[in-house]
Amino acid sequence: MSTESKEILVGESSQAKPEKKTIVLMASDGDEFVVDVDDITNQSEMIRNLISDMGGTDGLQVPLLNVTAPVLAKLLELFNVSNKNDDDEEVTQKVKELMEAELNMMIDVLGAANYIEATSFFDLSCKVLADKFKGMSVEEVREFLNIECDFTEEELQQIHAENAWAFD
Amino acid sequence: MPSHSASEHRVPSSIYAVVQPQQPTMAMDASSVYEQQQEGRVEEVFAVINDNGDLLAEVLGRLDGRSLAAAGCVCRVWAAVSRRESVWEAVCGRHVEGGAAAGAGARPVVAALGGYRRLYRLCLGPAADRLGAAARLSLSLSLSLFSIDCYERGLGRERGHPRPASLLFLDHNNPVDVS
Repeated sequence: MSTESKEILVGESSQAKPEKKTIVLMASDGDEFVVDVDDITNQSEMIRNLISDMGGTDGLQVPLLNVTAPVLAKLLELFNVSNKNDDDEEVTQKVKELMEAELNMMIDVLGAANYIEATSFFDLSCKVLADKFKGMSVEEVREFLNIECDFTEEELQQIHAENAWAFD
Repeated sequence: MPSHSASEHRVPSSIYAVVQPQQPTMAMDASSVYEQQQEGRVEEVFAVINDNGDLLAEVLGRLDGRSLAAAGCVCRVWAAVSRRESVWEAVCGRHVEGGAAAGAGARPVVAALGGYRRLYRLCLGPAADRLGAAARLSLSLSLSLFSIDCYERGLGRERGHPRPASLLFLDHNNPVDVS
């Protein structure tokens, strides 16, 4: 665990308003993120359950072993957008932009959202990715995700025969 | 500057000579290792969704049936995920009244009749094609039709029949003649 921790405040400054409760999220590399309790419980079912199991938020530190600091920072940034807007339009747009600019980061954020059970954000992000695939040919999907076609010639024929109805 | 000349010059004649590693062969090794690392890194970065089958299943479960079947042709990982019953259950759930939650009780029945992929392929998919993707179909009616097909298949196997035909009326390519 790093002794020098970086603090990123989400939402309103917690120092200015001491009555606002915060908890600390720890990324896998030890970086600490101070987040507003309402902002995070609004999104994450896992943290909501954790707080109710612990019986409060006093000095609560949540280690997120599968989430690196850059991914957690991006996820919290998107949660902020989501919390500030009543409808999903704005946050959907941000997720789309992230997908086009940094696909790898977007997929990591998706994994992190799944891990902390940010159900509605996760659903929305999966849809963004699925909608992207819908308009693509098999070849385009491979290119977009840099996936190698690892079928043998025989397997490829078989899989195409099995799914031929998709290409009617 | 060619790499071998650096070691021949006694006095470095340019800035390149100064930074040049003493042994050119080492430099070549180092760069190829670096390239390998770069290639490995890029591959790792971009195929990241294939490292997590459950995540991929969540994304593919939000496709429509045709796109999901097509996604099965992408690579081996995608083929395996697109054969998962849970993924097809999610797709089917969006086409029935009451959504996926309403259909959870029907899971053993669907499994016994041949699974969600087949249910989609035979009943829900063709019906959705005809009625529009937004249409919500009755799950019990779909299951009835599905069981007819299942029965017919069983019968066909016994008597050496051709393919089951009862559900062909659902296919928009084969309009039923009702005259």
